Amino acid sequence: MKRLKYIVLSLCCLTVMICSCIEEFNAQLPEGDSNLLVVDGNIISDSTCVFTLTRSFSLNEEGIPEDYNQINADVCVKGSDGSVYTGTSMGNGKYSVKIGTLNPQQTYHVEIVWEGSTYTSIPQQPLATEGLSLKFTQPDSNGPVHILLSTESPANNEAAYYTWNYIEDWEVRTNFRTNAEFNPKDSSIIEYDYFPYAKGWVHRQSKDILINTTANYNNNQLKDKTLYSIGNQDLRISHLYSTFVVQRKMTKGEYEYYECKKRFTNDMGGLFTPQPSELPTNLRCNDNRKRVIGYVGVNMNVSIQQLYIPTTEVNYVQAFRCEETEEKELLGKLSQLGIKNTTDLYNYGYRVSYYLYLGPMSPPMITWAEYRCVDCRALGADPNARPDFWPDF
Amino acid sequence: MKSNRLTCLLFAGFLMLCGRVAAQTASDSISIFSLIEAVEKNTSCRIFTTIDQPFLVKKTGTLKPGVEHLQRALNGTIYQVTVYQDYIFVLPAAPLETSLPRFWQKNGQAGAESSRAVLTAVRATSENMVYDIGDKYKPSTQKQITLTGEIIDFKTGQPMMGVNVIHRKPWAAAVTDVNGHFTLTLPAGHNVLEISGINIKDTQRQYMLYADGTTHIILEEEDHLLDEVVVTSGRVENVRGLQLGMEKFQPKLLKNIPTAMGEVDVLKMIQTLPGVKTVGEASSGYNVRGGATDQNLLLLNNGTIYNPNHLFGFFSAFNSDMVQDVELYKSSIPAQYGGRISSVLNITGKEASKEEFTGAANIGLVTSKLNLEIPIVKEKMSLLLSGRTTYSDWIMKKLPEKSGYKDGNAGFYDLGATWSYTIDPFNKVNVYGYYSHDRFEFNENEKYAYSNMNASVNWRAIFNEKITANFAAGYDHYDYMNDESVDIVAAARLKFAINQVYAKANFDHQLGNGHTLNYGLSSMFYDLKPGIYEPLLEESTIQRKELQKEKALESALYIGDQWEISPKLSVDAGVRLSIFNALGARTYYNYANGELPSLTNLTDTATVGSGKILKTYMGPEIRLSARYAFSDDWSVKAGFNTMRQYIHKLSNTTIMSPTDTWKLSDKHIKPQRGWQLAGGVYYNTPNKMLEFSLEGYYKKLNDYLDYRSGAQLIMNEHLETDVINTEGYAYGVEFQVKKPEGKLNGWMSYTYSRTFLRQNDPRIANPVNHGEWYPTEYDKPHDFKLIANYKFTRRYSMSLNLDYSTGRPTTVPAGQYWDNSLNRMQVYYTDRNSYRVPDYFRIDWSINIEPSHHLTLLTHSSISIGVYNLTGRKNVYSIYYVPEGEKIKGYKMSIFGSPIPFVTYNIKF
Repeated sequence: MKRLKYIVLSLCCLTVMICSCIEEFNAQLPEGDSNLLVVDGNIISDSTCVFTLTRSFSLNEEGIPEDYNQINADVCVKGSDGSVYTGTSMGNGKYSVKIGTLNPQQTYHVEIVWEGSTYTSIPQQPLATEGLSLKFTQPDSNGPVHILLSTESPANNEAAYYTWNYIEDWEVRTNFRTNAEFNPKDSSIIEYDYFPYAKGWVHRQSKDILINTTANYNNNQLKDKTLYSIGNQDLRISHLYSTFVVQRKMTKGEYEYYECKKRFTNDMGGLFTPQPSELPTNLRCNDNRKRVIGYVGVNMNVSIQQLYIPTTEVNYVQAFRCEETEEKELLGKLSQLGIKNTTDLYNYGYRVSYYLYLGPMSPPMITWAEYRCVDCRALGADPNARPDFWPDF
Repeated sequence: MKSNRLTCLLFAGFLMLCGRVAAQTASDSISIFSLIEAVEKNTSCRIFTTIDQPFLVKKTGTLKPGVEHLQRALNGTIYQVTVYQDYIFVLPAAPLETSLPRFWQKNGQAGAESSRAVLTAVRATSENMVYDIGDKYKPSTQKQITLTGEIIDFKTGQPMMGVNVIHRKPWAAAVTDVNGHFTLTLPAGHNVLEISGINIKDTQRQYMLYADGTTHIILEEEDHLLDEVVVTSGRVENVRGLQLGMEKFQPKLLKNIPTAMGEVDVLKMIQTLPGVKTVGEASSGYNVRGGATDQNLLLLNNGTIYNPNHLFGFFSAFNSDMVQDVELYKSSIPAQYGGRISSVLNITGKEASKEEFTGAANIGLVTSKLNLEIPIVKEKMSLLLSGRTTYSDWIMKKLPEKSGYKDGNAGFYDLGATWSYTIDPFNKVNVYGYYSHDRFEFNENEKYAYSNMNASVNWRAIFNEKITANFAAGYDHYDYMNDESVDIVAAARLKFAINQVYAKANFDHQLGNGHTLNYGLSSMFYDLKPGIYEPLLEESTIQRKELQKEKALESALYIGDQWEISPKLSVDAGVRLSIFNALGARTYYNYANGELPSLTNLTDTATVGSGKILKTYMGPEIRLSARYAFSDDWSVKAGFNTMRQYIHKLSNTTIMSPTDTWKLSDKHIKPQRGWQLAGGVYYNTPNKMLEFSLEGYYKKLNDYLDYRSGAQLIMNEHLETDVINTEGYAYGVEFQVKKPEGKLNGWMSYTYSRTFLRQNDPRIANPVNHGEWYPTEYDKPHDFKLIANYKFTRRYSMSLNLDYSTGRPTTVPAGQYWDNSLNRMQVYYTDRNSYRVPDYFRIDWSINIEPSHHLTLLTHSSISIGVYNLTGRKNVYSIYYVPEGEKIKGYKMSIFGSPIPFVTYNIKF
């Protein structure tokens, strides 16, 4: 008897083969440990260190409780050599501690007494942070600009762990410099003898957790490692951009703390995402039942490096177009939208880009353009916030 | 001989036609040719006769006449009936002699042949013939005879697993093993063995037992496509077998169970059994009775499979076309298996038919398969080739943007081969090969790949009726690779590999008096490459780093005795002595005594030379089980076993991840140990319509390897500083009802079980959950499963798969705080697994149509139309919380959030 040959054709419906989905989940979670002390700050030699103390609150709490930072504590930094640096309350949970010159051979820790319990960090020798250098590159003229960082080799040639934050400043200039401003209250024009909103500055501090280790790199040195990138349509590089990168060396334990924190922020929800776990900490409470959040590092120094990126050295492409239109013509164009007068134009997002008084017998010559094309404030900049170090460019 | 037979048959056929006419004239008589035809049809014997003229004989009074009816009909005529093996001779005068005269057998070669004749397997094809076992002229003086047998599929020549062989009075029963073998101890003399099983018609074989011997029983499978859902062979096994918590099934019997994407999947099938759980839908890793995923031994033709997943777990790595049968041991693990503390899944590859060329092809939207069975030497040698591939990249495009995988690609393929050579009825050699490869990328800068490879040779030898041996040797390989190139200067490749070489010898020895010994030894050499991290691009400044290799030798010596004390009481007692030697060359750290390994309490560094023993772990493992059968339908069983495990998977993800690291025990990492106490009650209704079983267990785990908070599990030279020994326990009750036959068939099970872990080492400064017991990720107390098939007619049937379980535990934030440095809200976690995701519920449904049953048609087709997740319930795979500005937002992710329809069209020709 012949064996039957066998063909199986599996056809699956094309429409909804896999329909995984992510939806908001608003279940009431069980009350976990809350009212935990949160410590933010590091001990750095020859500096005034600020420790911010707050308390944690329930996940079911809407918004930030008003008293989250009302922490009345005693804060001090102690050294194994007997040195004590006492903190001063600045209010709202902030305590400043003026730290003297630390001895790299000694260990130091912070001690916080709050609500009858004493929290101390594990004593640690201050770490000396190596220097760094910065540069930028735009390998693809239509691609982003990368801020590249290189570190100096650690003195002991052992794996080093770093954290970085950066302070950015950039200058914004409008496409059209205007010396006039429309006053919507009385539909008048205010004329200036300068261009008050033609340029401004933006100041920003990084919010990302930037950490890395040299453990996997040649000579325990990071070389031209991308710290962050700026898109080629980003306003930051539209004129002049400055960044101060602050590098601080950490212990492996502190590195793991930040790595864990970073995962909670950026990497949740994947198929292979590691399970969340308790944040590592080097703070202990004399009452074993009390937990604490935070990791206090001890450093001899931090390294700072500044980098400028002038727009002339990169390919910046403005993401929006700017054009001026004569007032009458513009009103005609926009009449279909119900815009009948200059007040409507103003409310619609237009501003005077050019004003020329032609005498009492003639109507002034007025052109209008979009707000962001004439007023740097529309681009988030403050015309009066020029940093002290800002060069003339 | 063939041409004579043909001539005789043609002639007889012609005469029968003529005879029929005459026979119709007398109502109580029948033509001799009609009777011969009926006997031939009913017994599968060929009849040779010199009768050339039809004559009437008396009707037999039965629709299934046998040899004895033929003999009775011819009584008083000149014709004598002689039976020789499958042949019946109807000849005038004296009956034929079918054996040599006794004096011949006493001399020279004839005598030597005689002893061989005892060993010669008797091929039993007919249910009406009486087959002689042993020499009837020199019958054994034993009252109890051991009959060893093998049941073979007539069409494919393959051994048939899970066939019941029953002797009624006195009761003796056996179920064929994966090689189709069974052994029964029967009284000398005439015995009738009833044979039943899934997909075969009930039959019997008769034997006249003179001495111990061997038989090959040839059975024919039913012709129609199977449309019933049945897992185990089992009614005899269920009540009479000694094993607790064991399930057997054959993938080909599971075609109608509705599954995602319509693909029959071995691992998905076992997940429908009580006591087997998973943490989510995209997971082929499974948990058996509270054990972790790495505590399951997955054997494919004796080789170990370390990653049984394809495509994130949507498919198992085993192509069902190359699988012959599957055995899952949840509790009474035989002494021959060891190395994992939770379960053993033994998958036996298919052998190709040695009779004729066959093939199977499957073309689908997700996968395509090809399976070829090539006989090389008829009845002797065959080759099976099997391959499967996918073109599943488009699946990724269907994923939501938020999943982060929308720009990814994924694919896999697997290849299998089985070369089988039957040297003689007592010796068979199989060579197996298997290779699977997976690759996927979430985006162009993040790529993963992993491979499994196994090669093994297996020699099965029947030394005599009492001793059967299996010798196996092989090589297993598993590796994975992860490329990351987001940052050119940091572009790197991570590689990991496990290599192992093993040899095993296993003996089954019938001692008589109800004792059956199983003993043997095995040895496995591990060679792990725990990690290589190297630059991927020229611009990369990554320093190449290679962790030192881990080598070890794991050996075992075992013996077990299955003792049938009485027909009611049987005991299986075994012991397995396992020895693990961690080998050099290795350099390792020593830590301060009494403290947890940590870089802060490192004392010195030690080095061990190549091949030198670094650390030895040794211990006995006990395997005990007993069964007391109150009747044929009701029994109780109990079992106790201890297990040891020397290789550990280190993972901090919920499901098996492609970058999970495996670690051998060494100076600092102790072996995992576990024991399980189990008991059960088994009852089959008298009409055999329903099978009930109730099993309970308590399990203890020691030195389970868990990770510490913030652990670095990859490329870690001193993993002992990032892991922690944990203890655990699990208990549960599993209730199952099976209805193996009838219009409505299937099974239903309910499990109540709990699993907990605890970090109770006093050296841990900040243990998880304050050192209290906490539930594992797979602790799902209530679990209900229903697999049902309803057969409306021979053509139409409907299948249903229902799965309900309590939601799994997960870790949720304990609270939130304002992060001043980052200027945003952050979450923090304290207690592990303190919250449960919503309950899981899913119904899959399919309707199966077989348009035609005509055997004469050239093609036979069937079609299955079904829906996976019929209700479209968005079962939660995970929930997570992320900061979004001044708020913490919760999300839930479902893998299959809507109904998934499928159509499967089968055509046979």
